[in-house]
Amino acid sequence: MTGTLVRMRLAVLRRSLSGGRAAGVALGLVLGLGLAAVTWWAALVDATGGLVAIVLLVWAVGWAVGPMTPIGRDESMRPEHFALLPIPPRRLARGLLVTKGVGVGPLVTLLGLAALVGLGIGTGSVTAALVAVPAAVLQLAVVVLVAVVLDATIGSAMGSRRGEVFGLALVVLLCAAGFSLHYLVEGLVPALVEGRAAELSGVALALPSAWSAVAVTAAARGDVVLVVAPLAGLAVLAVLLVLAWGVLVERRLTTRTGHAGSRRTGGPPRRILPATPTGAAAGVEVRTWLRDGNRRIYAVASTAESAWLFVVPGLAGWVGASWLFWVTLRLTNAYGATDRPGAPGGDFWPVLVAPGAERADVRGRQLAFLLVAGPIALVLTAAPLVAGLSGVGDPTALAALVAALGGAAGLFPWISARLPFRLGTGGNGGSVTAALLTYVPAMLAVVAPGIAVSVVGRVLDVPALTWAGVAVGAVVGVAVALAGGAAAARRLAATGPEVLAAVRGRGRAGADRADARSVAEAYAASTPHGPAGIALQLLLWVGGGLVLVAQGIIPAVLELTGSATRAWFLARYLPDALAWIVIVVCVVAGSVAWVVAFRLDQAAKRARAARAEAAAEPVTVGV
Amino acid sequence: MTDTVALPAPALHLAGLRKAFGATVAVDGVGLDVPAGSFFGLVGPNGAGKTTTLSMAVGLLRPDAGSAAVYGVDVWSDPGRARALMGVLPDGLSLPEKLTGREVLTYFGLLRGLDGATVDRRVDDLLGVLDLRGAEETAVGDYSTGMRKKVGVAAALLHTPRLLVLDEPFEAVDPVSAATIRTMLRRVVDDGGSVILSSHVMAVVEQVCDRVAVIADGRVVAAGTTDEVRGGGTLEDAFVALVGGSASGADELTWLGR
Repeated sequence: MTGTLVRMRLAVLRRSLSGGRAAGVALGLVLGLGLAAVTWWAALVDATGGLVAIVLLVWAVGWAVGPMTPIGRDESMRPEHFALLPIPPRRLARGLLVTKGVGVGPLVTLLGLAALVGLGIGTGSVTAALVAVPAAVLQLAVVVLVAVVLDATIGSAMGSRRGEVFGLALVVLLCAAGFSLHYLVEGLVPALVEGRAAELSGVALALPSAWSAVAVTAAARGDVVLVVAPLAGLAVLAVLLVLAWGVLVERRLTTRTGHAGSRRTGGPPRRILPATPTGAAAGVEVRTWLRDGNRRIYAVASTAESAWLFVVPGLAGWVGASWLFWVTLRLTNAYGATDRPGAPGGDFWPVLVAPGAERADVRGRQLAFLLVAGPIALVLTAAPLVAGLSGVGDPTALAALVAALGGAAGLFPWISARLPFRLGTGGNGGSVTAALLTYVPAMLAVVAPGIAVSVVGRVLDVPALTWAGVAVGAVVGVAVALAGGAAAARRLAATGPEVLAAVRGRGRAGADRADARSVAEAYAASTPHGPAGIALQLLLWVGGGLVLVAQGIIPAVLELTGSATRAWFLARYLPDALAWIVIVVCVVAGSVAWVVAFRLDQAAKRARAARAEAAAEPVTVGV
Repeated sequence: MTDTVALPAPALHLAGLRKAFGATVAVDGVGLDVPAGSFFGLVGPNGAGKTTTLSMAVGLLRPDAGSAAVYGVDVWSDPGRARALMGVLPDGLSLPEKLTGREVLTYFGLLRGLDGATVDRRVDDLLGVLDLRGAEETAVGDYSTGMRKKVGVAAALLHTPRLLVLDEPFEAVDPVSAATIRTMLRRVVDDGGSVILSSHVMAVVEQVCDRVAVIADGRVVAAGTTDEVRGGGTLEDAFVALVGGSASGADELTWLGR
């Protein structure tokens, strides 16, 4: 049976490597390989194992959190799928567990954990290098098992009301952790590089995530107890987790979880919105926002994230920069809105059977978005101002706010009409990625004019100009909202059936699935390198830009001007000679990334032109 | 409006409809006329192409070839007018899951441009007739399949369409509600409207439909009045004979009997 399950898993993997899903896999692969490289670096730089311990903690956290993210979510082989087969739950659990070890993730992780062998060699002891082999394998087992068990606990808890609350708390916690990233970058990374983080390393080494490293370094010292104890600990942990997984699977197969968010709903019909087609469409959205557990989680999480990202830098004295944080936040937030209510769901068909309803549907969804997101955004902008945090709620932030709200309201229906995808199924990852890749640059373009005018006013110290930025932002926002909505309505009117086919839920005949696939494929085919290629290009542009500008050019300027600013510029924490080497390396690496991205783009253009030419040929055989 | 009334156009006219999904041809040149004022049944085995045909007829699925017209109004070139004439119950009924039945129906009514007071009155009537008042405060996501189906049928009736296109309206509906739905549909036909529905259940079709078309492998293999199609026997016998499925094929499964 295990063999059959593994073959199934491999078939799923093969499918995920082609078409839309590939972009997500590629992104995960890039992240994983990056972390693997960091692990090797940490192992070779610091023979005490302190650095490796911290990186191992990152692996463990990544594995624990990964399955809860859209990219890491994998529901392809759930215990329920096999519930009706006459296989004892425990045996099924064992079989499924083996399949969890099959995949790109475990492979990349093993590649990273193999750095323990490097750590062993670094200590100059053959025994340490040998101990590293079982240590790495045990560590991998524990890391994967923790992820599997956590996913099973939270995954099954998510189905219940209590789970919803728990998920909410978890997301808020993660967001809170996310905001502290800049403290991490500012304080921790330099401390690590300069070897000043002994306490942290100590804590990291004590955690099970680094017991393998403890064993390896102990082997080098000939400390038998500290070799055996951590490895035995890992083994015991692995056994306990396997047992827990068995229990979880058994429980999952024998009990039914309640419907998330099902509760007594409504009461007498209240009519807040006008009794018009647009009002009706907006009403569906607003009610769903108020009642849907998943959307509640989403709303609370993004609000918490907003508050943190917005207020904390202000409190920390980053007053001037906080509006920039804020813009980034609005971008991601509003994208979330496109991901959830923006895209038409399977219940989109009523729009296609009512005369001229496409326009009402789009305008209604826009209205609902502004009703839900608008007040939250306004409060977040006003609150710091009221609290006396000048600079946080200044005109530049306001200019960004109005432009971003209008921009999101205009862009999300337009993008969801151009690149429809099925919600919540994890399918059509290519369209999701493509939507994101369209959305972020478009939003940047929308907020840029208002911010630019406002910043110019600020630099020239002309308050009138600073406030004119708000007007510019408002005009651009309104224009984008109107034009985007109109374009979306036209698009839906022209391709409604195709959009419906793409967003249709499960339980349909293969025919509709074929249609949904063909939409994703059509988009992938329009770019020769497919969604994965676009993701790579974006990564190269953004990553290259960060390395070239933020870690190369700006530190170079600071270095030359003798400024004392360190911020998150790596070179500023290093002695002069080393700093210049880092700067040169960053400039070269960033430039190379940009050149590669540019060439990819050119290749894509050439391929498109060639295909257009081929399509224009009068005689085509077998196309 | 007057020109369509004046012309003796059929309630639904399908010509040469074709749809292929990849290499599979789901519907292969289906042509049908549903005369105005008829109660039309579309029957066929699983996967015959009934749903695909009806989806193309109402504008939810774009055909590869062929045309569909409602009272002479082309569904694909003049969707606005065609949609106004039709009430649709699609297959795989997705509804806004977090809304109550009343809210869903109100949404449908307002989306079609009916005024608020009319919508309120009709929704109230329909909820009462279809025995959905008990679930007044429950979201449709928590409804049973049969209750959802009833909401779907009510949604199709709200704007008093002249043609009803219903995909499996009786599936999973309890006998009492099914009888209510039958009565309502009969009433629509008696008042000069037209109904086309698909079903697996021959007895229902035989009982309520005055016209029948049998569809198999994406083609219409028989069409006419119910009496014409069933000949002397029952519709079920005629159906089995027409679609060529050997009801006796089950004899080969000797291992089924112990």
